Amino acid sequence: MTAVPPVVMRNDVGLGSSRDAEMARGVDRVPGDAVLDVRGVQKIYGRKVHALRGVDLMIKRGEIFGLLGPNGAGKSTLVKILMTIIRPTRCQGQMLGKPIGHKGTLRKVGYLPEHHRFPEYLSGGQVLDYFAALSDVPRKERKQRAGELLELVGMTCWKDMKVRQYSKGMRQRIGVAQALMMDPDLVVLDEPTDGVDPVGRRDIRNILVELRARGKAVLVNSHLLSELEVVSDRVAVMVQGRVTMQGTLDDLTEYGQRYEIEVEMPGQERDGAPAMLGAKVSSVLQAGLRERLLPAITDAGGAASGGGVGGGAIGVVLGSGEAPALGYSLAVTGATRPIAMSISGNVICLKTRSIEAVQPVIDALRTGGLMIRNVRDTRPSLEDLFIRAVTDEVTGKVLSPGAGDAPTRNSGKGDQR
Amino acid sequence: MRQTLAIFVDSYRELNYKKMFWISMSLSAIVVLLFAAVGINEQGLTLLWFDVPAFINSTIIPPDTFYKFVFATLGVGTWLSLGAMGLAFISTASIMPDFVSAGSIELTLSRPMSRIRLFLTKYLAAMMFVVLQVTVFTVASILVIGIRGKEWIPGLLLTIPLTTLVFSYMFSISVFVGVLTRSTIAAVLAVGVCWFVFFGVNAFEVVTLQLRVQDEVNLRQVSKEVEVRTVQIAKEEGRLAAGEAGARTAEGIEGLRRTLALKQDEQKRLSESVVTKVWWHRLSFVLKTPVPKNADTLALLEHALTESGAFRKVMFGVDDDGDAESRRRGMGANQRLIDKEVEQVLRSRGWVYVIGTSLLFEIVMVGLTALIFWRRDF
Repeated sequence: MTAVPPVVMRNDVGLGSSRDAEMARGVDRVPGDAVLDVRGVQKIYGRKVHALRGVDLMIKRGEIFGLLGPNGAGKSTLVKILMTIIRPTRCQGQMLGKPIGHKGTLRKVGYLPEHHRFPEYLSGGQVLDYFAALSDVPRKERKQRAGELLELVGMTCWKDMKVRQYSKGMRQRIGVAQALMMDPDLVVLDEPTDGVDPVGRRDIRNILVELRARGKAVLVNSHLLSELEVVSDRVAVMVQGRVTMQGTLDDLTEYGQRYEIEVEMPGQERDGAPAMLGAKVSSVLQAGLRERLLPAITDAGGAASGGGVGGGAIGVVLGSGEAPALGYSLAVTGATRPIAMSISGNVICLKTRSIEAVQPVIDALRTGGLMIRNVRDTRPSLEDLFIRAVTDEVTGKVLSPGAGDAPTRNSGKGDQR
Repeated sequence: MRQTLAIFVDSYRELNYKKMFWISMSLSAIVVLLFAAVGINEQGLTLLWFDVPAFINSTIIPPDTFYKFVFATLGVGTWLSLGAMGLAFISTASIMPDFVSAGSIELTLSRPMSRIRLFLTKYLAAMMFVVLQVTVFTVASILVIGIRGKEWIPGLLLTIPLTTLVFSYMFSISVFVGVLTRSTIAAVLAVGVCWFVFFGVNAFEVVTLQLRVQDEVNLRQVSKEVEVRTVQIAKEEGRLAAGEAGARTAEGIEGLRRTLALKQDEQKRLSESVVTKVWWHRLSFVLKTPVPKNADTLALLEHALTESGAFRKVMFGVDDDGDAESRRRGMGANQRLIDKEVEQVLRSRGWVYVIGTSLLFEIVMVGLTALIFWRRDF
């Protein structure tokens, strides 16, 4: 008999805190692969305003890294520190193998600031040439790259027009091009799609993907979460001067990954009494799961072990009667995982990433006479993640912007603080 | 070098874009055309093709001195130092505030170039406005004077560095305020106020110098008269004692003594006055020393081009020894002596004092600005 682990009914299933030191900061340290690796970045203005409170960040070669956060979270301050525009109060780490603040490193770092203002007396082509020259790019390379990049951002036809005549979207396109003129190893883009039309946004997304394919690292600071969701490999969420979450999207959204099974009773109208259906579902599942997971089934509070689904499943069903909260444990490929389950009307929600864990439930439902209407594999969106990050767990209120006290979140894999 | 060149090229594009640059250039062209219209010959002055009777002509004033005078006083002293300079300050006042404005500075600071180098390069490049204006104006003037007056004066090229220096003194203030406040208006106002203050300080020093020299000249003259009267009284007393014929009477000698007493009183008063004037002049000189010497710097051009008094001769038609003519023009020999001594004092200060102390001011201002630029979080 194997000991049955306790069933967990919580929102952040899988977001444990028992990690080693690095993982606790949400950073998988791979120094040889890191383009940017900073630790404990602090910025204090005038001894009072804590803009950054010890930020750890790592970006690997060949990845797109999304930096999220509400206004005043410190994202731009962090980026400006990396680009030597702001001096950090404290900063350890390196960028492209050199300490932060090393000017020579910036030869291989492209940067597009937010709300940038190119000199109005320059044309688009001159903007590319001027800023590339400031980045010490030889004239011949400047000419060649300017042509390629103007083509890439779709601005070849307007390269001789003065910047003052450009629309905002055109300025963004030129801005992205100038950030790539030095053939950078790291590209830092602050709101690159700001003011850009959908076609332009798609083009910029494609450029980012292309850069990633070429092994470049891209740091994107954006409020357009849907944009980042599409292209980002990893993201960090900053709130009030701290990184509260950092990791891959899969890791960060794992807490909310679930399967939703929608059921119907035969002959029942779709808008039938949900409470009655809920009770029916609950009883069907208790009975069905008991049968399928036996001999390793006990009532709530009990524990048992034994074989079952997947070759050695152990399980527990909690709650009874009308209580919609249920759960069971299932061992898949040898590792026992607690699976939280809830019922809301005719929808059963299983917080698991494993499709195998869903099968006994479907079987139980069908055996109990219920019809499966729909099975959905869902996970939180980046927006859900963002809202979660900026919401106070205790009060449930959205945290005020600025450099106040950030919440300490016991977050899971890939999370930080 | 590539980055430096890029900033200079960008600055050229920037000033090329400014309408004020072309307005200023057009006005310079008009001034040069005025030079072309004015000339001097044996009959007097000429305006275009017409003779204009005047108290000066080429027999009194050598043509090259006349053209140097016109260039130095009208071209440099009036147009370049006031008109063009004013337009230049208005035009360039926005360069640094624009440079450090949000959205712009991030694009330049994020380059592989140290902040100090970036700032100093931008500072020097911004002065291209004046360098180009003055160069075009001066070269055009040399050509016009050469072709029109048949006098080729390459020494006028000295105008380019001297005018640029004067601009740079004041531009350092504009840049300091511009970087500090990021406000173009504040930069223009600061230059205007400082220009006025510096002008006042310099004028105060010249006035106190003139007053001091005036008292010193008067004192010398009175002292000489006292000396003469003393000798005369002693001589007359001797003659009276010897009973020489024609000797003054005792009453006559007493009259001389009273005159002497009056002169001695005046001598005493002037001596005290000289002490006071010297104190005031020293104070004004101390005040003047650390501030930019705009007028003095431009005056170096006159010093380099002409001998002392040459321009006064053009202005008044006399040289320093021309008593008869000066009396006709109501100008006392005493005043000419004072002017001559004041000019000698001013000329004696030389390039090192005038430019050196002014540059020191500029270096301090630029250094402070560079420090702010280097330390600031943008």
